[in-house]
Amino acid sequence: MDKAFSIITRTIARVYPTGFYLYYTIAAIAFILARRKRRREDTLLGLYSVVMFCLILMPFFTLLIWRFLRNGGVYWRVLWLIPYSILIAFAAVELIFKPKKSALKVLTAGVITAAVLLGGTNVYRGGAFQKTTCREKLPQITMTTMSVINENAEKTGNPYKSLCAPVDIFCQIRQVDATILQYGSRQFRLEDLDESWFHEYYYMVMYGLTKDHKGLITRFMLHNNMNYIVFPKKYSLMKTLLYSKCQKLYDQDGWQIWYYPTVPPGDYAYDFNS
Amino acid sequence: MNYILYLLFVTVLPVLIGCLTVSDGDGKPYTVISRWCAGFVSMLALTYIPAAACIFFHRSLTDLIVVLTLVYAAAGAAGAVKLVKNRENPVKSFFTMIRTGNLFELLAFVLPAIHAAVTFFMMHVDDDDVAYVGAVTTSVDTNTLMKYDAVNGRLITDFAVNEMDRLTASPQFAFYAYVSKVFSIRPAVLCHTFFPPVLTMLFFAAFLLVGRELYPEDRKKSGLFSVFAFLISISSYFSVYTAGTFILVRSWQGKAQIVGLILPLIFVLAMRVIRRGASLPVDTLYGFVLLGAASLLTSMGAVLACLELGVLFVVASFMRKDRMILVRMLPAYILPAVMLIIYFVVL
Repeated sequence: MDKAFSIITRTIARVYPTGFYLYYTIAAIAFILARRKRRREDTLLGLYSVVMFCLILMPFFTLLIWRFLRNGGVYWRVLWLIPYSILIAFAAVELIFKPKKSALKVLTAGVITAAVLLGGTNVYRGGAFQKTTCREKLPQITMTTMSVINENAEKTGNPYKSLCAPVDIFCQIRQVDATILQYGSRQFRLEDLDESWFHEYYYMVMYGLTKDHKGLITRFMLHNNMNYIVFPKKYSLMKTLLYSKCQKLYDQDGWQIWYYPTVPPGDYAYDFNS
Repeated sequence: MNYILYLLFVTVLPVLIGCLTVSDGDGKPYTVISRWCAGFVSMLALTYIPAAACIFFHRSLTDLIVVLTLVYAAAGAAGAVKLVKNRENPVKSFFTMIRTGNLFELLAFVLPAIHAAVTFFMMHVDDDDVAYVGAVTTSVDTNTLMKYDAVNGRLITDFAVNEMDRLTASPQFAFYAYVSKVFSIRPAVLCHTFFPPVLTMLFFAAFLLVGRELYPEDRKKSGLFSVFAFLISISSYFSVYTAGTFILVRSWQGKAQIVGLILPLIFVLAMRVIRRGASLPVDTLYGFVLLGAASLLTSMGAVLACLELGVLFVVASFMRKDRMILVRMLPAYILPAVMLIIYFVVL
């Protein structure tokens, strides 16, 4: 029971951490059901929302869905079953058209619009969108990494390309070129590290949390058949890479891309000629 | 030329296919919009079985492209035949709708269109795309389906790693891979630049349809309803987990299409049935394609869609005191059942 309530409160706090939209939603449901003159469609909308709210707040239901999901971390999506946009918009329209005088309708519309806009956070001011330099809508360093690696592969005649990259480029490079292989999984978090301290050290270096004094990064690349590496210049890996006879391919805009020619292809590489 | 064909694929073809799925007559307002939304959802639902079969039988992307082209062409042709038979003219209906429109409907079009332009010209980077867009790029670059891990490029031996099981049970990437390969648009460009504007307009078209069901005789109110739905969505950035945030910022991901398209259209279906007092075979078909599309888009989303449909129709059958309203919707659950069997039994 405690676990269920903990899940419910955390979920609500996650989806409605600030603002007034949770209260608007509850007020809209109450408004819809409290009206005397209701059509069937309105009643359906209101009753559905109440039933869904009750289900979501019911510990039995919460635990059932939580166990049904292999990854309970996505439970918050259940709150999407409460259609807050539809409820609030419907209540807003009903309130606006309730007065008979036009001036009152306009005033009501103004007040409700202000409440809607000020009660939340605007997506255009929250940093959700940035300017872009390419149609792929990815940072330029990702596109540059892809170009540099492919040019070098063509120049050397070695089609095998396996990249060692920090987490943001890790998440982007295979969106633009799936012939570039990678090491690791999507669970690229320090909490999910392999038991081996070697892997831990690799992740810490690529997260920029520690300097690679011991030159382990090239040993790691050799061990896991990774023949390219990209990193921000501030990681200071140059000495290590030069010592292992790596070749610098790119050094601009605070980034470096290196090639490790003696790394053999991994046995998991697919046949690029097929 | 590719871009023009792509535009026709996402606008004209869904309208033709939508004629088979919704029972709106030519004279009703927003019929073209209703068919567009229903048709797009139908295309997603039609993708599910061929994609699942090609993945299961280790076929290539080329094989899937051949099958899907035949399926879409057949559905489009059937829709066109129905239009001709009923002597309907969707182009004329569309311009009549525009001519008889009001200020609120104009705003309900212009505001989402502005946001569509924002999604076309600006970017939002999301780490989840390593799997979603990565799977599309892997399919296109290697001409395979779920053979190589989308995240690291290795042969898949364990589907649970990197959540490849979810992508296999709900192969939305197959639809994008089809479009990318057929129209020669790179996957990242398709998902991040060309699909978001179309999806944005679809999402707010779905809200307009909800408004139509709530106000069938008043186009001013349904237009204003859609305007408020937009304003509420753009003000929803108080959390990255709200429905409004997803539909505006991550529209190309399956989750956004569930919450922006499928869930509102399920409301449309339910309200239609409650007003009529009975569900017709075409309603069952519409429910089937809605849940089928949800199964393609995301496994969790399919669960949500099934829950919403179930609760709505339980309430509707209780209100109308007619359990057949609920019973007739049971066939809609076939594709989600297939998805669950794939996810829990096969993988």
